[in-house]
Amino acid sequence: MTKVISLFNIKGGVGKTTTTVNLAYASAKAGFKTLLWDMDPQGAASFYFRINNKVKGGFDGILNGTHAIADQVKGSDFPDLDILPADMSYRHMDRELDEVGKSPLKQMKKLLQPLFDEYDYVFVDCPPHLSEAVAAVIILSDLLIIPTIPTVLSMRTVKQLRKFISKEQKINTPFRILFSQVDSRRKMHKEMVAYFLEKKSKAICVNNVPVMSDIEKMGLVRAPIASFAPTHRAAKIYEGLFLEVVDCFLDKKLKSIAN
Amino acid sequence: MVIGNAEIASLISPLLFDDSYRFSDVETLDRFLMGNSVNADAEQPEISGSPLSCVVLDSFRAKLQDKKLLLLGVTCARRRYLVLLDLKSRRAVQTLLWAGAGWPKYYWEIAFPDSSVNSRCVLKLKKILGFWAIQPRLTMSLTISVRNQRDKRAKTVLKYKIFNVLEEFVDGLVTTEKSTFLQLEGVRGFDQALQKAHKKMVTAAIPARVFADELAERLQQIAAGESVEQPQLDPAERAGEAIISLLSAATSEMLAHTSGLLQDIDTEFLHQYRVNLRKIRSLLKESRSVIDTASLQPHLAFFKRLSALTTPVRDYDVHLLMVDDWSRRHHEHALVNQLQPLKQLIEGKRKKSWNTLVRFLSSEEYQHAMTAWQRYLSTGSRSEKPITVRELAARRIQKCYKDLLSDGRKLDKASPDEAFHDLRLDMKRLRYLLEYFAPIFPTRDYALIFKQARTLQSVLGDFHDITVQKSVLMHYADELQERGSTAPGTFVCLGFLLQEMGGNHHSLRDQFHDVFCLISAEENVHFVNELHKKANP
Ligand SMILES: Nc1ncnc2c1ncn2[C@@H]1O[C@H](COP(=O)(O)OP(=O)(O)O)[C@@H](O)[C@H]1O
Ligand SMILES: [Mg+2]
Repeated sequence: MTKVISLFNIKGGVGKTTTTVNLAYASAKAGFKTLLWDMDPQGAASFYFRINNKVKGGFDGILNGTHAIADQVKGSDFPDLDILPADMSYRHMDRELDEVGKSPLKQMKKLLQPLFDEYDYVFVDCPPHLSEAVAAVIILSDLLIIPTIPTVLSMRTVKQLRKFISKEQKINTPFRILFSQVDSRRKMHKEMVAYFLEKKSKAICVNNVPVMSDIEKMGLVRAPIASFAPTHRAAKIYEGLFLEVVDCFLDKKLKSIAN
Repeated sequence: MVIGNAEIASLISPLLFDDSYRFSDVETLDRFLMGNSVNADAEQPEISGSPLSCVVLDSFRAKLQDKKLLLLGVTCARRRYLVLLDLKSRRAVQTLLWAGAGWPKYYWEIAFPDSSVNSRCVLKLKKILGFWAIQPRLTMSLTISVRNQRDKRAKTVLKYKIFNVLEEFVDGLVTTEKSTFLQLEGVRGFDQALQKAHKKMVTAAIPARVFADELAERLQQIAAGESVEQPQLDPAERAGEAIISLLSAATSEMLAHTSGLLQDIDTEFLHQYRVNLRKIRSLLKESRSVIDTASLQPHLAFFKRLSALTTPVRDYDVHLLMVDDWSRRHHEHALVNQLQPLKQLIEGKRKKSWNTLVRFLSSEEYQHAMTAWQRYLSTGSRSEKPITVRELAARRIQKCYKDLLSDGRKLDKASPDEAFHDLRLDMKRLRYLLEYFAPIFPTRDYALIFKQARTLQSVLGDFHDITVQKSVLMHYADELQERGSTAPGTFVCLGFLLQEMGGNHHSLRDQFHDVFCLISAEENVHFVNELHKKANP
């Protein structure tokens, strides 16, 4: 069964795109058929794979069936890794979903499921705002990863976000918080990470991503870091993070067997 | 780089089965790719890492290929793999990591990892190969690499998969052939680049056939070189002429198996050599009335001598196969290794008689006799007796069948083993007569009686083997005992072997009775008489 993992935070610049790109690469590298859906109209994830962020006929065309969503998929330069590129028209997704009438969730499901079924793992790089379409994708997801920078303020945002998602939107997709851009020279970062690690909170990813200049280089090379620096520490971290993701689903499976 | 079984199959299968374009050499392809701004970049090293070397493994006359199977031995990064491919469904059936030093010599050495598929595959291989050895028939080395075509964003839009093959095959001489195959791999969402490239290939490349078909054809050529054309028999042909063409074909078969026999590749070469030798001798006996017998005498003597020299080697071969078969079936038995002294004893004896045989086969005397025989076949005088081969065949079959029935009716379950032996000779004669003349009578009834004869002969043959082989085994035991140094375990094993044989003795006697009832049935008597009547108007 396909597992869908979406990466979301209402804040920008927290490493959503960077994480999605590298996680998807790790998944494909491990031999899984992998799709990355660049849902952010900015098209940063598409950019990292040298792909034009333009979808033929736009979201409108996909929704009214003049363009099949499967035809929009582009192969990356790497085996087993495909990209569903971003498009400016995703901005109007909510409005278009509205116009069709029925519930956005049902619409999205009907639209995406056949495509998702082709893959083992689907990673979704979400835009930094909680629209109806994004909410639908999160509901459809098997796991939500919230990348965040370990500061008190950011954690407050995450807390509010979680409350909003679960209480008001009634979404109960399992989630994990991922500390990103951790700066070991900053006392607060260090303390925050240490505090949560000590608590052994299940909601926090064991792996976290430190600030590394080589990660920024991805923008120059336009490729996942492990593809041009396979022995780099960052490559190992994303590999570990992917294993954590896989583990989430294993856990669930074991639980269901136990029940 | 460590490659798994599945990866090896997926490296090899596309080259063999997928459509590809062919270039005369790498340089031409390079020039073409450069013109299309396709570059080899550091990110995409050679897929196979190091060159792969492949051997196509098949038997004498390429029996696997004949049944649309291709067995490949692949060496990659100092590991060896066996890949079994199906030429009909165009896919790899099974792959295994091969730990042996050389390549497997017999089908029973191969055990594929997937047990359910394995038993099916091995059964198939058994049926096709039997005791024929698997030999390297073609060899090739290849490298696989990928080059990317990129668009102006440096995004890969098309992949060029390049197979560089250096083939070596033996057809009298060693011939080498270089080929460069190119396969286009589209990238999802960039179909235009793929279509454009396909269009360009129409003029740039040499149209190529599927490589597996080419390999199969080369194996067919090898097999054709080792094969003998079977004569077309016209039932109305003069008997003398027809017998000569049957004798010629049998002689060619003998010659075709000589080289393998001398190299001692496997036991089948000698076996087939003897099968045809026996065919020549019994055809000569059955057709005394239609060919000139006066000038035949020296040839008959030569064949008799040849037969006498091959018999002991064949017997030892059979004993060794028996011991090996028992060891394989009881490989988990604690005493199985204890059969080694027995094996060595037989092997020593075999070596001696094999040397004698080979000395004779390499002698001038043998050369002269064979040449003289072939001259006889091409020029020898034939009796002008105006009888067709159909008449001759029907007569001989009827005579033989009558003898068989009268000998068989004298027997019952209590008769001594010797009485069964005489009948065995009758049966053997009938079976071969029916076999040799089968092309003259292409009817279902004939095929049926032939099948029955074969079954009865194999029952009697087994019976004979057991009575004779049993005493041979006892003889070996005596010899081992005289040596004194043999461990008791060896004798225990020999005991087991004998026990297994003895157990079949009675059941074979019972079986004999059943099969004799079948072959002596009224409709068979009628059929043989009719055969005779129709052939002799
Ligand atoms: N671990 C890191 N170390 C250094 N720079 C990072 C790291 N993670 C992200 N960045 C940089 O931060 C910027 C924002 O990251 P991005 O993944 O695009 O965030 P988002 O998708 O959440 O907006 C990018 O320029 C990226 O190169
Ligand atoms: Mg982003």
